[in-house]
Amino acid sequence: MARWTLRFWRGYLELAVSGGAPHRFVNGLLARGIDVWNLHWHGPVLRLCLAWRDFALIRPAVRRSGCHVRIVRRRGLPTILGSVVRRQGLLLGLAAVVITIQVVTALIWRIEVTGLNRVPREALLQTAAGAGLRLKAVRRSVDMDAVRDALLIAHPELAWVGIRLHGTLVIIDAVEKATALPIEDQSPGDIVAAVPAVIEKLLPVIGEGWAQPGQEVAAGDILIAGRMYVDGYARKAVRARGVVLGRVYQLEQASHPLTVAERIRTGTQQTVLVFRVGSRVILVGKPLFSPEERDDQVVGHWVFSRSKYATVELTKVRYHHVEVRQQTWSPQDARELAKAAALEALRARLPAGAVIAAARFTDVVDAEVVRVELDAWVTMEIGEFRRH
Amino acid sequence: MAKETWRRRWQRKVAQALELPTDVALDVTRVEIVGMLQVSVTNHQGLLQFTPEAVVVAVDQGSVTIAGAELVIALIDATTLIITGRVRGLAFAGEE
Repeated sequence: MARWTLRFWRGYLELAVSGGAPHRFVNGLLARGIDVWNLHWHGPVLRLCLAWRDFALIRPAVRRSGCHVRIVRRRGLPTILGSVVRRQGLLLGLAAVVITIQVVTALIWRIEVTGLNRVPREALLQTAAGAGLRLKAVRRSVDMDAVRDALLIAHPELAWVGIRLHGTLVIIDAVEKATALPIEDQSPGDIVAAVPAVIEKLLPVIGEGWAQPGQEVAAGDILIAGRMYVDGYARKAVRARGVVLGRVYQLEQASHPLTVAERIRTGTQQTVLVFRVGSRVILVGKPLFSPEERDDQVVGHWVFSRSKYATVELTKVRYHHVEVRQQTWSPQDARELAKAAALEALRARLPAGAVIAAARFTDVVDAEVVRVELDAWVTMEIGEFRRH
Repeated sequence: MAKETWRRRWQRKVAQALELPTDVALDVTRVEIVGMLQVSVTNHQGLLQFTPEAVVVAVDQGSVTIAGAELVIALIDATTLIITGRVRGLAFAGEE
């Protein structure tokens, strides 16, 4: 390999030697320290290769051997460079390609942002653009330290910003402050009742309490008004804050059947292959169980062709034999299960912190099912903010 | 074979006594065969004949004939000659 590389680097010639005594010609070359390689016969003509620089030294050997020598081919780097230099259009094209690549790779073509949860990506990119980091900007002209500082100043929620440059890609790694509190909306407004309720507790923090414990309120009634006397003489609109707990009536229903048909796998199973060619289905293996007596489980699926003419698929299906058993409950057990289901359904839709203060169940048992109705009083936060 | 000169005989005995490789100590021809694909001749004296079927190489005390088919001299320089192709036979001929 090293020898080949050296020959290619220096350039070499392929010669055709005819007439005379070719072996004497070769010996004459060797006597002058000229290496030759790839000697082979091409019909009556001997062909061989020698280094470009040795060509000027072969004249005595040619004369003594009486051979006729002509150059068949020129090879190697000097030949390639020579041909390239002669083709100026090719040179210009190469230069244009190199310049274009240099110019194109000097620009920023993609900006990625990682690590954002609360800060909007667009806002961050807008800030970066303001500091010079934008698409199609020249990489060298962007001061990454200045961009980093601008991002940290404009977005106080950020704890750290790192900017990485990978070719034409810029990656902004942002780390948000773990303890940063969301910036609250300070627009003035009231706290109103979200649902009809009886007030249990009302603690105004900012604003005026307009309701009393024990008072019945409808949805939309103002509970804490967003206005205050400031410095004792002016009434100013503020954003009301506080806690309002109310007792809310909730209704939930649930039922449980007295008899349920359960499908239980017996453990017997069968595996079949289903070929689907277009709309045709071919089943390999006869099913031992009817569709009602089995559960089907697909354990493998292969698509061999999905052409518009015919789709060829193979599906491996396992049939599990099942037995249908009737499970029965006494009316008392079914009632308890229905009550538990009603309570669970109610808890699932209540907000966090809500407490069921009182509950009453009413049930109806008919031939097949037990129905339960749950009337409950729930103590929960009922205030919601409404702007002025 | 040509008569061995006293100088050559002395060199051979010294090489044997010192357990030196003979080809190195005496500077004689060394022929290596790689399977039936390649023959290399070191310390040759030149090319006597070259056809696709046979290559005759001059060595210090005679000649070596490599017979085969599609023979190509992959490399030849002042000391080394490498022949590739389908090698069928190898023959030595010494000076009388």
